[in-house]
Amino acid sequence: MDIVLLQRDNPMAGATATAVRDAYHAPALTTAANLGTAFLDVARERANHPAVETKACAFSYDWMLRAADCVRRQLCARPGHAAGARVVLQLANSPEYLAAFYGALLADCIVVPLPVALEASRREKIHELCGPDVLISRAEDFGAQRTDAAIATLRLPADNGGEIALAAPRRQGRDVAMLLFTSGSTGTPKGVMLSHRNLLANADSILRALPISADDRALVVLPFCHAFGNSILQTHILTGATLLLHGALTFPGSIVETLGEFRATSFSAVPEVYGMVLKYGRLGERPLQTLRYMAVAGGELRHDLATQIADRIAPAHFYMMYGQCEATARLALLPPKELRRRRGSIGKPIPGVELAVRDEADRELTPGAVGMLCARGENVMLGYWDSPAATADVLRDDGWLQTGDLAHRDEDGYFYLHGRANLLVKVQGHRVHPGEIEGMVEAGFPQTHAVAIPVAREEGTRFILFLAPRDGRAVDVAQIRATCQRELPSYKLPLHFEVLDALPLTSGFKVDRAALSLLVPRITRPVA
Amino acid sequence: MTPDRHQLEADLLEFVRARGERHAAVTSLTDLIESGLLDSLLLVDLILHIEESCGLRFESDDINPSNFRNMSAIVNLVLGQLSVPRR
Repeated sequence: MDIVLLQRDNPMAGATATAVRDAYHAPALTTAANLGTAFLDVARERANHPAVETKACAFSYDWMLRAADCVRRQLCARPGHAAGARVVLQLANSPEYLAAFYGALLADCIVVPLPVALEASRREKIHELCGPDVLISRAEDFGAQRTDAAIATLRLPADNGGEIALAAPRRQGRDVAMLLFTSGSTGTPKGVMLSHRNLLANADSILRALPISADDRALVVLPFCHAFGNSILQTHILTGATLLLHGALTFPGSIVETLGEFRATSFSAVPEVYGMVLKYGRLGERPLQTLRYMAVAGGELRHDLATQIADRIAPAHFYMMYGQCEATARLALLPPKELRRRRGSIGKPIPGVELAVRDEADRELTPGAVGMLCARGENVMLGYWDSPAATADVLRDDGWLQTGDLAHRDEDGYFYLHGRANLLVKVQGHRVHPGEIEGMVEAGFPQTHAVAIPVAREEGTRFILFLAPRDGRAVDVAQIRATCQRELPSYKLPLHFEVLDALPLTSGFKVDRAALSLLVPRITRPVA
Repeated sequence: MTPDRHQLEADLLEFVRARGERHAAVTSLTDLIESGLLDSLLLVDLILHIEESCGLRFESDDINPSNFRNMSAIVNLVLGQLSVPRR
């Protein structure tokens, strides 16, 4: 594996793009065959418009096109370069991320975006699974990782200011464009294979459902390596709009201030962010003049919080959305005017997507009946990378994808969720299987039995780790806690570690997770 | 009953240091924001921990970068809240 670290200067002030309000219309995505060339088409048309704005400066579509071409040439110049090579991105949201993403597609590679802060063991497992040819990062994102690979530095964008020969990539349609790693129903990482068509079709569906236009300015807090973040990226870039990247925005108040200060027209986030913004963000105290809408996806937002957001941002609209990465990103949308009437609904399928509630024999259920929520459309993944068995578990021959979510449909065709059919949990938009935490602990402490139980709090879902000895020897909580702190990203880190003499078992002698859940309130609520 | 400053600081330091390897070396003056140690998840958990253990409720104005810059600032915030009765 080669490593390429990207470097850039900020574009000169004179080259700062200015927004032009022209009658620009995005290209027809229904006929496009390659996501990279769709980007090129937009970038040429929107050359002087900002594609990305950071606090320091603007990066025009022309800059982005040159930077992407720079990456493309670097990749194509590798000895033995072949179509379908895997390019891992270890990049935080940045102009470099976009350059690397589209550059890799233009070089006929498969992009594998991974979170910058991924636990080492999981990163290794993913590398083992997909065998990356190249890793693209930046010095600040790569950090002090140990490696014996050759490290090259690539300066963006190309220094020649002249015309660039536009690439003509060969991969298209149903060829894999990207791998999105997520947790499968057993907790091991699975690479969701998304084709060029998947990504283009879902972007097209979202653009028909949401009012995204070429003069939009989306404030981004979601990581681009996440399905929801990736869909924000693709929909805005393919429209010729602007992504605002203004750092971490840890404080709820700074999100609201930044929306106003940088004249953002839209904002999308996971439910936990909205909870904080409502509680501490002073949302609605001052009107956000330029805001057109906000959207939530990546987990369930409580109905009362959703209506509060809608009230505070009016006349801007609030969209509840539902999706999953096996279906590229988003599947359903609740129109703002239905928010109060359809309490708790995830809405109806967006254009180009079919949803159905089916039973175990794959028969569609009647309205009101709870069953497996299934989805079909051009956005449904090709399958899991190198895992035909896991693919067959969720993807039927007739094209229907089992989402793993239980749901019912009402008489008018609106869908409502009823929890998961398996143990997967959403934490800040990340899909986490308790087995990821349990497996990590039990690998290091084989004499200890570990069970992670999700706890739903108003601030979002987190885990409690129950520990019990397997062979009567004392459980080393301090060591286990230290290992979790070292190995796990913060959203997986258990809030509490609770030692039991033995784990409760069901009549089938399996760990009784329901019984453990009942112990949770005693542990988390301190005695007043 | 206002808790002892040292005791409160020790408790909050322990809470933050338990977040991971990078957090283990946090001291009362470590800049949590510049260092990138304070992410939105830690902020939520810290707020909840303080509210539960000290029996107080923060308001929008309290949750800002200057109050959460370092542990010393957070301790000042908490002690200030505990000494001034609120509605």
